[in-house]
Amino acid sequence: MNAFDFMRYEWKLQFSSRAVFLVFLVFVSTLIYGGFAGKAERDARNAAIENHYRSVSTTMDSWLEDLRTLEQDDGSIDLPSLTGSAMDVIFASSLPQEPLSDFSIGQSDLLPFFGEISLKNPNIRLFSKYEFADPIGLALGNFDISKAVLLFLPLILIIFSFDVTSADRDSKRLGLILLQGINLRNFFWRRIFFRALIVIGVTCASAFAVMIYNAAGVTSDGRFAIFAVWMTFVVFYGAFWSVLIAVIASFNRSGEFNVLTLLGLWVGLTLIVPATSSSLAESLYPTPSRLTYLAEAREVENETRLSEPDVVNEFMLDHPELLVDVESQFPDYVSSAFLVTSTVDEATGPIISSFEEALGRREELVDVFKYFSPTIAVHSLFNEVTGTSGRRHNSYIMQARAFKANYAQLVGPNVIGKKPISAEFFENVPDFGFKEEPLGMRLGRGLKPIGFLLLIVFGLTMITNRQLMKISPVSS
Amino acid sequence: MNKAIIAKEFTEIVRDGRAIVLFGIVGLLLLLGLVTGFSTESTRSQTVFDAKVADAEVFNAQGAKNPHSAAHFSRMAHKPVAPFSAFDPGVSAYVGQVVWLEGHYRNPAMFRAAEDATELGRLENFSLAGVLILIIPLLVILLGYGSIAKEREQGTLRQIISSGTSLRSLLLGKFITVFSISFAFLVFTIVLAAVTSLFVFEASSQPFTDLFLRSVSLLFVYGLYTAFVTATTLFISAIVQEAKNSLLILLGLWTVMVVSLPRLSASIAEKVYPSPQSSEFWEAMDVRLSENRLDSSSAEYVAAERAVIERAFGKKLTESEIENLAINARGVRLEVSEVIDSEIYTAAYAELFKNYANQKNFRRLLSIFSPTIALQHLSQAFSGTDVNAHEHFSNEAERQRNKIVRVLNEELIINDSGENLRYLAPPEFWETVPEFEYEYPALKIAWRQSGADFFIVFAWALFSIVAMFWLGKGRLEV
Repeated sequence: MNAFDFMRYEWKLQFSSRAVFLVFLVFVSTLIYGGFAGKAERDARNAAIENHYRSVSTTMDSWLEDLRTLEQDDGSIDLPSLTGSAMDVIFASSLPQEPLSDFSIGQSDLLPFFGEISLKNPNIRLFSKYEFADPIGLALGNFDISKAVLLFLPLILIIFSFDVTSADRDSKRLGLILLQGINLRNFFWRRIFFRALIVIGVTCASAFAVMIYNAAGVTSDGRFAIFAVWMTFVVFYGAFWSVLIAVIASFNRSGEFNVLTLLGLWVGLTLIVPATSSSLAESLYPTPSRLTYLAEAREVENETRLSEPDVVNEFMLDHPELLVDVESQFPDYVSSAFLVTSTVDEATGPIISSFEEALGRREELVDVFKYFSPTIAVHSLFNEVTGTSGRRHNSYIMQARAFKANYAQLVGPNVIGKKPISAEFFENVPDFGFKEEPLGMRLGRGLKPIGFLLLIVFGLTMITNRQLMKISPVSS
Repeated sequence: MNKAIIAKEFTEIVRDGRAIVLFGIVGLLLLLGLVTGFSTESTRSQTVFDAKVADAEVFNAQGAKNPHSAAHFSRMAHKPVAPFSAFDPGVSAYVGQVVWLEGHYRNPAMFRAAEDATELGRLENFSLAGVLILIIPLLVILLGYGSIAKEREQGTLRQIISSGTSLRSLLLGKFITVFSISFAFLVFTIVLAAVTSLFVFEASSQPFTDLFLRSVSLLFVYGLYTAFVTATTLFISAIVQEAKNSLLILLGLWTVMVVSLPRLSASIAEKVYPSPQSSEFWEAMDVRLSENRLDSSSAEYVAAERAVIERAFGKKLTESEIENLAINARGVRLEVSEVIDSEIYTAAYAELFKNYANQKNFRRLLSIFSPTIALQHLSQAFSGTDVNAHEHFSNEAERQRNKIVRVLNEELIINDSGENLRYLAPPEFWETVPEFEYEYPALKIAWRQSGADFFIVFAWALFSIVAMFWLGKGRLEV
């Protein structure tokens, strides 16, 4: 029997059972639905970003027009009293959507991916108006093709392969097969390989179809390459589970035993270990409460308002050039708002740092668990490769804060001096641009656990082979 | 006869080492869920308490300040920890913990606790409710998949029946055994959660009777769900020839009904009833607010103005009295616009929550394929952590915002007779602004809102038990 015949035989064997065929059909439908759900989420995010830029651009065009009029004004035109105030400038900012972001929703449904940057808002309120979404959907975790793979690919592999020898063993055929002089190791691995090939092959084919379909309307720069990386992880994940199934099957126990053991492993590796590691990380390294952060910010805000003359004096010491310029055009509350925001941001800086520190420690702990569960390792890589990881979103938030701080430094003297900025000055202020961490670096962090898990795969293969050698026509 | 069957079943389970290991694992998972749940929620409870105190202190220490500036600074409405959130946190981590009660604006709740959680938390919910919903059916399946099928395979089923035991008695005995073991886990978990709630959340001062009734309600619906899983397991075990096939079918059902459908239903509901984009929501709000603004010479505006002034002075006033009053016109305008805008905010938020309700109804529709979806709704409702509970909080916070802003505007109306907002309220004034005291909606409201979910879980349980006993009428092949 050549390889093609063997595969055809396995295909027939598997799909001759209507129940198995149905389960497989449900699995493929789930993959395809996951693809469409991811596309819908991505399109909604893109639309939200587009709207955001349009709205900011409209506001700022009108602001700039007023400013230009003011600059050419001879006093005859009636303009808003705060025309040209740097406090009224808003910048659009967004986290660019990666080419394959439809493949994993990750944290993008929960964490900010766009927002106005304005000096009027202290950091704590920079992204406080989040996107609306069904809270139950968020709590259950949005569904996409990556999640379908992570949760269901192992199950389908188990259904297809748990009885690789046990079906023959339970029906007392295995001894007869062995008596025919068949190389059991060869026979066993060919079966495992072809069954895995069917499942992983169909998974990849479905994913490819989704990738092509979802590409409509988005720039495809790098989409194929990133898809290839994503697919590599799918193949690794499938291979890991296939070998795990092989090692359990090689103990030559009943089909029932195999199913129970493999199900236990699935529950453990895909549900319990991720949930436990997440709970542990959050309990061991709690982030400072945002409510404490808010209370601190409000306290500073109040104190700054109460001691405003002192704060202004301090600022004047840093900017003595403003002392000579007594001509002011804006009311006091504009500079007052600026001082309050800057002071609040400065005072709450240590809290933000401790947030970042706690997140860093959590990530370190979760990184350890990646060695225990392929689901954690691959889940994290899926999010990294599709640009929807919590780390990338947090980096965006930090960059937005830094951008705001730079802008505040740039225009602070004008705001405190209660003077407008010039149109030329405004046009030279760079827009916000997200600085991307190279994909290689993002992936690099997750590859060590994959290497370790590959070693485990190798070890399991050796164990399987040793176990297979113990099976004899008499013992089976 | 039933007693003998139950005793035999118990003995077999106790002798089976795998079952003992399984109980150990389930017990450990529940313990872990309990410890992490209570550690998180008790910390949150304390944080909310501290933040509330700090907020009051800051507000009261504003010194002499213009009331309108104070309306912008305003207060924060902190959402207390829900009565049973350590058992089932529901959506509480995804809907925000605090509302800024700012003048002019109805802000949504901010700071979703989930934003600070690890991304792994999105893979699986590991609360006590999460463990019960996920693992208890698995426990039942593993205890019961071979109950009848194995007896048949080993030929003992025929012997039992020929010894005079009716099929119905046999099924009932097995049902009682498997159900009571799983139910014992439920009782253990829910009682422990309730007792710990009493001690840990002393500050939240949930009345004992409320906690007790919530526990009983949870036990009841989880019990119905367990009855459904037990009856279905025995039904499949009875109709399938081999124990292995029974196990495969049950695990398939578990994967579809417990793992997949709840997630898929939430995803599909969001596609069928998409939540509004925040930018569009706020833009539409601005348009509605400006369209609703009244011309200051219109009769409607004048009536609103009059109502605001009379409310500020706490009595009916004649036209001439109003004309002769020394009041701050800007303060009146501010309060009139608050009153008018409030209607728009209420309507817009009601639409938003209506959309969430539509999503829930759609999921409920899909629970005809899986009672797990309805059970999740019930569990969250009885724990006080569902979307309805959040809507209640959001509306109460808005009521408080209106109250605070009104007090501040009236201070301005009465005390500042100029037009330039020069009046500074004295430092002791801030303590007269009312505190936000929030109480979660009573359990009976949760029951009223969850009637359909309860009916679905009840119907599934009833249907599966009837199906199982229908087999017991001798329709079973032995």
